[in-house]
Amino acid sequence: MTTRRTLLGALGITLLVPPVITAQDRPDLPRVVVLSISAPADQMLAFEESLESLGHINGTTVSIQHHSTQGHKEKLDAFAEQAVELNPNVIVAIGSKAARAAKRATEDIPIVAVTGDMSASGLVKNLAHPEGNVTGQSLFQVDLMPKRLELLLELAPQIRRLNVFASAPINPVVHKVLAELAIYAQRKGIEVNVVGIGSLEELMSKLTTLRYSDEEGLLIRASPVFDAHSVEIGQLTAEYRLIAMLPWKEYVHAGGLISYSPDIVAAWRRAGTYVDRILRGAHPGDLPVEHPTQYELVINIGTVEKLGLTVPSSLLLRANEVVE
Amino acid sequence: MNDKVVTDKFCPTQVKKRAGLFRKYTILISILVSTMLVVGSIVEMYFSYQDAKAALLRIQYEKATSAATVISRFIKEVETQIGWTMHAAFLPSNEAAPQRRIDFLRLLRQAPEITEVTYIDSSGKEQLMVSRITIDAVGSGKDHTGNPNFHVAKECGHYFSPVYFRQESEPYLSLGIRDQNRKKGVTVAEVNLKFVRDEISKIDVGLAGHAFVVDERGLLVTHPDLSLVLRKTDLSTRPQVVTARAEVISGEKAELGFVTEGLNGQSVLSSHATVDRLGWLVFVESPLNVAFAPLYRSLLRTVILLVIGIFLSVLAGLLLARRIVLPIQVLQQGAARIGSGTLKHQIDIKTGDELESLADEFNSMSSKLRESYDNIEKVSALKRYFSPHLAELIVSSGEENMTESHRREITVVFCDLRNFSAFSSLAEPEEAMRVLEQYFSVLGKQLLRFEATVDHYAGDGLMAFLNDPLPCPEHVQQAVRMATGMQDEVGKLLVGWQKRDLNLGFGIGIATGYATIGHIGAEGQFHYTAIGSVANLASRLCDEAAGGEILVTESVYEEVESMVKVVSVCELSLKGFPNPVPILRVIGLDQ
Repeated sequence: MTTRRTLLGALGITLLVPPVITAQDRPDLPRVVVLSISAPADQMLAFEESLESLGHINGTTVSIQHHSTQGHKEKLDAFAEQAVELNPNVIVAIGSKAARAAKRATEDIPIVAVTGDMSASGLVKNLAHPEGNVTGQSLFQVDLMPKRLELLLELAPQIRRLNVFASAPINPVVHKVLAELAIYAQRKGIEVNVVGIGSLEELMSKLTTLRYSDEEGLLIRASPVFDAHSVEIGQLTAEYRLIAMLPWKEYVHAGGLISYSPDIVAAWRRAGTYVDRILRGAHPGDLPVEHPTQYELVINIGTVEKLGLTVPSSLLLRANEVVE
Repeated sequence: MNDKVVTDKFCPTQVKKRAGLFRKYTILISILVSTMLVVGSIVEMYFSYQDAKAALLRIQYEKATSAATVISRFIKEVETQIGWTMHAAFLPSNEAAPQRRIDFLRLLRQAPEITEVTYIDSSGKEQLMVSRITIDAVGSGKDHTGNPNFHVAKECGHYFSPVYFRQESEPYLSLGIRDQNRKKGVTVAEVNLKFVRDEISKIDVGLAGHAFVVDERGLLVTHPDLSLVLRKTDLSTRPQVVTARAEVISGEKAELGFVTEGLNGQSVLSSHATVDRLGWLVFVESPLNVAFAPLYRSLLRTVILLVIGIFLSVLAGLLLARRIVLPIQVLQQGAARIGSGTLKHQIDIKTGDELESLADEFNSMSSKLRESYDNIEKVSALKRYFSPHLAELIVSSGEENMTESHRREITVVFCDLRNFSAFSSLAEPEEAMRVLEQYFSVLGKQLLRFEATVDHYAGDGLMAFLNDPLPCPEHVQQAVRMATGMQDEVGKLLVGWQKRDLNLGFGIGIATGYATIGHIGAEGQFHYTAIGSVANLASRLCDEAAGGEILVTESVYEEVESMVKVVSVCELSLKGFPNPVPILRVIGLDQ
């Protein structure tokens, strides 16, 4: 008699208590951890939308957690270890530094990396058969540098020196491409100056040295360290009248002169499909590294005028977007 | 040991009990109906499968051809786009180059699938290269003479390179087109084939189906799963590819598609079409279990219905068999019961057909049997008193209860042989017996003929009477006729006996009146007899009768007046009778 009553009581209680537990607390949902130095909102939106369209809704059928160091690359290893401790199903790493940190922290948990150059990062054996636990989208950023310079030169042929700002420490592969670039630059009579930037403050101060110069060209290499402050940097380059080729269109929207970049949103959508495949049981080693299919040339006409430049028709023809 | 089989009259022979009619019919009907169901279902399922497969293949084949068309159109579109850039060739050389550059830039804008476009002059030297990802080259003079992109295009007008990969994983196609004019320069574009995939994926390939393309070497060009393409999957050994290539070579199309193993190992229905000019093959495949799911569902339904049908057919068999067999069983049991002696048993069947009439026959047969047994019993009961013939007659007239004492008007006939005792004491016993035999045989015939009841035999005479127990309407007349008949027949005997010096005579006395009749005697020895003055009278008359005489009383004569000739004899004073009794002698019958 009493056992039955107890059972009924227990049953009643479990029925009365609604499932109030939040997604973040729910240990039963598959977990995706996004590890980054900075995670641009529009890119994350594209990523989450892509996952949603494949049936993974954040909070209901999957739990997506963001672990961003907010620009502090030195904290990456600690964050990576934390992420691994959560035992997620997939780690999504933004940028090669985050990806390498993740790879150092785990050889088993699948990692989907969105980086500038996957082969340069040394994260995979082979782009077609990664074979390890890392795969993802390679944004072709390193090899794009010479083209970027070419486009910048078309806009501002008068520059005498190209300053390349890259987040330190600079990948050796970058140097290789820069060497190629230097050859091209030399033909045009341009000196190439590579600067390793350790922090945002350093970047800001370095930018100041270039301001108002007609002959100093700037090429900022894409890096999550800088991307976290794309708007600030963009505004600053406009203010300093810098002839700058910027890594993403966000910079140009904020005032930067020109940007030529792969379609990052499309890349994040593909990253979403990869996470979906891995959640459904695919092995990351079987998923080939993908490259962007489209590139965007964005020019800020306002800044062009402020700098007293004119956009040649050939450049205009190539432009995907023109910002006022 | 007496081996003779003793048969009871109610159970002639031992009937072997046979059963199984019910089971036989049940099985027969069930099997018949089930077989028809199964055969029908199998035939239907086979045709459904063929129809579904044919329908699916038709759709798939159409999709494959439309996909192939889409790809051709894609390539054609690229060619057309490139074509627009070639007008520069018609310009004078100093204007041509800048115009071309502008045209190429425009091309890159309008055709995102083109990553790079190069112009090579007729001598094989590169004049312009515009790229999305590498630095443009203007007038580089690079030598392309060995490059098939150039020399094949120059010769044939256009060239499609085999699919190659950039950055280890990007599928590309080089498309070379020759100038329309005399200059015969070649424009080469690098086409990113990931865009073809977008075109293919827009095509609706139904539930879980997918379309993929392989190039002329069998390498995967596009597939819903991009990673397979990027992995440079080689499908040249797959059966569907092999068959498709064979068809391309032979130019014949055998069927719209067939069942084979898909890329992920599942069984699929595969159709294909060829892309013009490129030599690529477009495959549209659907996994069998999904494509045929509706068919399998309907087949499952058919099978379930079949099982239900078989079950119902067994039920029907049971019911029908029961309907058929039950009356037969009732008949059989009824016959067995009747056969074993329960003659009163009536077989009750109301099916309104031959079985019912058979049951009726059985019933009437059993009641007849019963009747006849009853009769036999009655007769055998009466045989204690009467001759078998008389017993039967009595029973058939329904008078069998007459053995109880009762009073009736009868005509009594006494007769005996004159001088027989004298004769028998002198003659040999055998001779006497012989005489008696002949005599009683003759008398017996007459008694039989007139159905007279014999009261008793007395040596050389007997007493018989008529009208009891068998009613005899004209018993007096019949008695007289019988008597005359007896006289005639015995008379013949007498003649014969006389030749042997036997001087016997035969006399008969007949009287009529009421008597008391019934059975007297002890257990086991009953005697049916008539008692009364009529018997005495007849007896006295017989005593008085001389050889050849038939003496009757007046009451007898009253009845037979019209048919006999009589002579009044006298009045006899007879013992026991107070008054003298007038006696008449019957001389003959008036015929």
